[in-house]
Amino acid sequence: MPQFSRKELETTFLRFRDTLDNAMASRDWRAWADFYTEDALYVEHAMGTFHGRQEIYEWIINTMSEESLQHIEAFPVDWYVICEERGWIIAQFGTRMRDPGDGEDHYTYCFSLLKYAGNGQWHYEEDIYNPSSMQAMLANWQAASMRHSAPH
Amino acid sequence: MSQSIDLGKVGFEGALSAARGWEPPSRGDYPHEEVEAAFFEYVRRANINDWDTWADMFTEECLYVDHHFGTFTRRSQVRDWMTPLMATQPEMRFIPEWYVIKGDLVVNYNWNRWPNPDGSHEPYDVYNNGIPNTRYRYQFPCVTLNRYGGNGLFWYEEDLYSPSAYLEVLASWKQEMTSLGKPFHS
Repeated sequence: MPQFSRKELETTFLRFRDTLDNAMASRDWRAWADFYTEDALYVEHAMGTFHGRQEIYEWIINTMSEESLQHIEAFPVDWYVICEERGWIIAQFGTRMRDPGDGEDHYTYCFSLLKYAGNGQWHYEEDIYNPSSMQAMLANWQAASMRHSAPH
Repeated sequence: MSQSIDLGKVGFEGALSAARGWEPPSRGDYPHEEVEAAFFEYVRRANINDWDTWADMFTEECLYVDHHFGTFTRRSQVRDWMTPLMATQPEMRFIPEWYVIKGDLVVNYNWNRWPNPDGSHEPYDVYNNGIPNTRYRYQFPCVTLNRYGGNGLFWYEEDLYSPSAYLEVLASWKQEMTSLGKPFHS
């Protein structure tokens, strides 16, 4: 018998997705960080492992203030799978850049595993992606942006 | 040009290829047991150093996106890439930590693993061997996504992992094997 219902898992995940959108717009990451339990573990395979909500919060605000990431338009959810038996959500989060002027889709993505703790919170997140792919996308975007902002 | 830039370009191309792979709808409504049986067979064949047999798990026309090695669109291409590549690293194994099946999709979180150089915790290449995965010192996780196409075959695979983790783990394993004077083939 699953500990949590599919509906509760999905509702939490969709709220989490909306909160991520809001954080992108407002640059306020507190409500997003509140989705993690006080003692949550966040394993980001390219950037490190973070212990607890406060560490997660400090990491995200530091990361999202980096110059190269200022032109991210959104982190859309490409697909997700609910695993009721384990209380998990498995999802793919995209990273989409604003149009630099070339009309191309500057896009890459990340695989995420979220383990649910109840009370609308996660106690574990793990992100796996190819960091070089992310760097290449950002470099491509930068080059396109320079081309299209140059005077003709 | 540095290797990291090259990896980035291949990985970025892979992301674009993979995006196309998600467009086609499921090719059928398959029973969970059938998809699971195909998946178990896939895992078995991925751990016996017979990569021609493993490649036979794919449909003739398929889409295989490896974010480090590139994109392949036919079974013969998958085989011609994988068989010689894996001949150079015969100690490498692919052991699921967990998997989830949803319709035609299998999400397989697997450890790409080499044996402990001191010979402990053998067998290192068996799923559910009762040994905690934390006992293995040279491994990195890969998320493998497969889509099933009937007749025991998969028509899509995507491997998502950090190539730099792969290269680092392999180099460290070789270094320790060498320092212990143990023979290896990778």
